[in-house]
Amino acid sequence: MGEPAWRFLTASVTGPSHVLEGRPNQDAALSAGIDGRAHFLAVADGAGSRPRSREGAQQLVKSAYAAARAQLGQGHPATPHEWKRLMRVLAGDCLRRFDDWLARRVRELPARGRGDPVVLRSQFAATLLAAVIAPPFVSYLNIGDGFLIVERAGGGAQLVLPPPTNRSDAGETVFATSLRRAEALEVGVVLDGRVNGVALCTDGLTEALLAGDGSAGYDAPDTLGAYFSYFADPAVPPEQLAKQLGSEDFAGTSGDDKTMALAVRLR
Amino acid sequence: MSGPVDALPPAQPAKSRILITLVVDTSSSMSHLGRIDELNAALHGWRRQISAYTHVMRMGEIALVTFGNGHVRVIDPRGKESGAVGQPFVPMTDFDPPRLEAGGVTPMVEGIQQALDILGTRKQQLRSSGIPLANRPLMYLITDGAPTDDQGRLTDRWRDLAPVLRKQEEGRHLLFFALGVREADHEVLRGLAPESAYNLGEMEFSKVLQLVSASTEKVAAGTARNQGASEIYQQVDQHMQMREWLGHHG
Repeated sequence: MGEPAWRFLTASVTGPSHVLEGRPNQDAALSAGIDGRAHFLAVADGAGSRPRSREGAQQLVKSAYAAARAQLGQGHPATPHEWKRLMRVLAGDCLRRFDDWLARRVRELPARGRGDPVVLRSQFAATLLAAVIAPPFVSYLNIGDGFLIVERAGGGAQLVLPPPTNRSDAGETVFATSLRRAEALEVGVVLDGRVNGVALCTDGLTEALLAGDGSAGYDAPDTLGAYFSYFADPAVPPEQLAKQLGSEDFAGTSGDDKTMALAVRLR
Repeated sequence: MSGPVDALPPAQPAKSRILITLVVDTSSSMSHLGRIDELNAALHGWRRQISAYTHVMRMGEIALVTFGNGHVRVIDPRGKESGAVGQPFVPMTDFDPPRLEAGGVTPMVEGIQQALDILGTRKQQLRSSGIPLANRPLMYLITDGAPTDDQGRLTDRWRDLAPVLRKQEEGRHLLFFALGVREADHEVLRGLAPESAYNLGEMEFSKVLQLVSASTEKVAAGTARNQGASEIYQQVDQHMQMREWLGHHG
């Protein structure tokens, strides 16, 4: 990835509602190098009401990583347009891999209670937000309600991909198992050599991290820059991220699981 | 659970709201066997109980409507204003209701209509202020009787209200629970809330309010916003293991 070096970390904590109900964390996160020039980050949010969504979230980030390795193994794009196109291809590849796994997994389910395949698939419902960090490019794909923050030297933190607003009356979240997933797919690319940090977050962090009045849209507050500067110090233990997300202060913002994948340029 | 990392900024102030409305029976039947005293004690205890759900406390706003004593009344949930209430919804953290008195007939239908009115007004206020709702508003009817007209005669005007509630549910504007104790008319409860009516028999009000807490928390968790009302009611039912619980308490 060239100099200066980057640091990658992930943290995922179980939401207080899940703790109260004795349910596991249904989010997943993955951080892994691709080819020495690019790094992969992803977060997935298993639908809280679906019995196998944790498994679905875990598989989704794995499928996305496998797709990223396969697609970038054929060479790196050189322009934003090419990156965007690649992210669409990568998303398709990811969903094919996920579907293959899902088909096998559904066949393994006990015969009793088997029913509509669409319903069975929905048991594994999860959202996916994945990014490829290949400076000066940061490319992403999104299915669902995750959000993406990019921090640039001199420019502060920017909410590049916002979460949906006014959730009470909003339409249903689209998952990787949804029929409308292709329409809901979002891809994007940031081209900026001064990017110092990238944060991928599940929607459980919306209330804790973002500012704004919600209805008109969210903003990344200036204070978010502290995440990137703090973790840019290699001496800071990575566990501090989980400590922050799992703090009582953050628990008070949402009952959901909270997950972040963070990339910071070491300074 | 630990404190936040000092070097990192604290969580942002609450942006979303969760609106909770309690519609409570204070008719003369509630004076029997000290039921109103039990309800008063339960409401105060509930404040402590729900404070365990930190995100509900942080985002929650509550309103209290009574029907019975004084006909239909919008009560100040903070226990500060005794007359007309300027702002029916107050932060959950301020919930400290006044002592309720029992008396009069059971204008249940008017009570629910009043609750829907103040809810609509509050939603409009929040919308105008750009404050979103974290999830659908929750409304809980708690009663030990059956709806009557002004003369205390049983009325079936609730049948006209049921379609209004269904429309609100289908539009994802409301979740409505009907919780009946003692002599509550279960046909009415089932009519008003076909998928979320509970005949709780002799269950103490403190336990009734535990059901309110548990379902509020379940809905406030966020995951429910992707689901239709039926699915949520089903999950709340399973979550609280209501039927098993009823077996012990009903």
